[in-house]
Amino acid sequence: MTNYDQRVVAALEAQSITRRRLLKRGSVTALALTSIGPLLAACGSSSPKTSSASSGGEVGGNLDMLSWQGYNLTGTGKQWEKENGVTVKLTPIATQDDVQAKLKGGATGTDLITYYQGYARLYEELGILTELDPEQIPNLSGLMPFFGEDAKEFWKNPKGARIGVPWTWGAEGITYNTQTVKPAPTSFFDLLEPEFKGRVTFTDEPLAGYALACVMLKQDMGAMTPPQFEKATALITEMAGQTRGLAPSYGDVASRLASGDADVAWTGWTALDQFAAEAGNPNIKTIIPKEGGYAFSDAWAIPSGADNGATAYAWINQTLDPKWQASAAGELAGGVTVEKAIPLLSAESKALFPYDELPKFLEEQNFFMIPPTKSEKYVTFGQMLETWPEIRNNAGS
Amino acid sequence: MLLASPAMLFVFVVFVIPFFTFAVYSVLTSELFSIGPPVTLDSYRHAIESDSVRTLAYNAGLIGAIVAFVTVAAALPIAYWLRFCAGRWRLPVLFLITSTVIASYLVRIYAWRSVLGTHGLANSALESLGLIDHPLNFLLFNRFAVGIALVHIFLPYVVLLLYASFGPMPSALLECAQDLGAGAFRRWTRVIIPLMAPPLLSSWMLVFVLSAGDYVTPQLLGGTTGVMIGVEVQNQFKSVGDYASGAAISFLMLGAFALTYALLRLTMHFAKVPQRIEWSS
Repeated sequence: MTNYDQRVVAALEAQSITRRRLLKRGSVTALALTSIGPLLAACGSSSPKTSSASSGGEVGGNLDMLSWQGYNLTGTGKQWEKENGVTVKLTPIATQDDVQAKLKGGATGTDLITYYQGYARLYEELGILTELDPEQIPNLSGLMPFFGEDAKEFWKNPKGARIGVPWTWGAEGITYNTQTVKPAPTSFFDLLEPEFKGRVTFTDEPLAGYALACVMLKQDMGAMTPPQFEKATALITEMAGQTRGLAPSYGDVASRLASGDADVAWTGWTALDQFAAEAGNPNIKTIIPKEGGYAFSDAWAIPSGADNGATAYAWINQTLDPKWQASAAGELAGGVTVEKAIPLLSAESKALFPYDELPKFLEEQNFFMIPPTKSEKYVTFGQMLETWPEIRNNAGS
Repeated sequence: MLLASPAMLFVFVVFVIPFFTFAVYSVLTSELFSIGPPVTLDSYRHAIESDSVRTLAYNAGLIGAIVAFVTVAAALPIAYWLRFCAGRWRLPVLFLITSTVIASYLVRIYAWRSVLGTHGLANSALESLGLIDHPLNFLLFNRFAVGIALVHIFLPYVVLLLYASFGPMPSALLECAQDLGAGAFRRWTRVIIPLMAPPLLSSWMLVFVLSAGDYVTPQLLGGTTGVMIGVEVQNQFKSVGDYASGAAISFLMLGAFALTYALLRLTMHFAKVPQRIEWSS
């Protein structure tokens, strides 16, 4: 029996709940929740309501994770799971928006999520994030200055409380087929040339589309004025016209590149090289064009309503262990956030990013905040999302 | 009544309550991933006025109608053959048809990607036969690709439905028609199709609703022209967080489906097509 099972049994015994009563109570509750749960979950204010993540209880049991495929680290983490009686149960997401859609749509019992750094304020506003206790994560001290100091408040709230733990990062550039695209593109604008008509693909994801458009137009996605927004929208629409349709996920981008149904991805990503190679095409490579890339860092966070906080904290801390960091970087084709992990990286992982001059590289990358949810001066996140379907649905028309 | 109560409770929980919840959503006001008062019909108005929604609804209607027609047209002779001609091949062929249902929905969609893709089976075959010099790009990422995958997905279900409908039809009926001088074409147009009209139209309606509401196939195979309304509903709930608009679009589609059904019933009534056929033993 795992620690978690023991805790459940102890709790049941303490409350003298028989199995029959539990089932009866459970079925009534389930019926009630099925009936009004979604309605209640969606109804509510959007004011900030950040609470603190509970670290009580023992490490063990199920760790319900809502995150990207692979972030459960099936290679790196298996032994740790076994030693600690933990079962990591991943619900994979196709885009970051799946997280808020599921959690605000009534999903309960999620212990751990990841968020793209730009979603910090939105998730606080939606009441998704909780304040984390840094004492439960001693490995935080090993973060590189860029991630530890957090000048843009991606992982701390304006009060200075920690809300997320950056544990991996990556850069989006142009991913292309080296056999069919010659010479290699050097600028995002190259993809708008007639020779690329019908050969480009990109993800059906407003965040990535607008971020790249902002990189190309040298704008800040988090503070776009209406004219800047119009320019970005026109640019994405033009890029969409170069495609034969948008891909619903990064996995599908890799699939299209690997099969030859697309030759170049505007929303390229270093990890796609590996995904495509695994799908049988070793000729897919990612380059950072001259405009620079658009960078992301995914951070662990414990959402409100988590019921296994102790294990979530333990997992977060463990993923900042230098050995885990290096191993995970290989597993996910990503970057490390912990200084001491760099010497442990494999040659392949080291070749992905310029680790010798990493502070400069990270400063030059565009780590965006998403647009504000309410603003009179700038375009809001809602406006950005509402415009996206028009772009997608009219692509190529 | 008592015996039926568990089933009625199940239907109430999984159908009536979500339906009611959706109806309420559609007339409330949405903010980012939240919904509440005031009550308004704005979401319906926005959906009706939106060019994008209209385009996707048109795509859904067109693709759904064609897919349903092709599926029923392909299933009818197969079901006929199984009922009247297959003999000892009936069970093996029925097994083969139903076994395709076992494969995952996504696997079947990706299988079509590998058939219709730039370097897929179809292009490779045409190239090796010397019929084309360059891969045909129009095979994938359009309405055609969505249509062919949906026909493949729904064909086994319609074959089974029509096979079951052919079941009680006495073979003597067809022999009589033949004895009276009706050729094969005349037997189909004057005997079989009129008698099978009710299940044919039901099958058409079933496939139409399921195809027009599909949102996975259009995303993976639809490209720029094959996106359908289901994708927009998903988008409103998942990305935009506008639950009211998502629900309103769903109800508008439901209304369109109900209208289509009503038109079919009216057509059957005026064409004097029997609503059901009772075979005398």
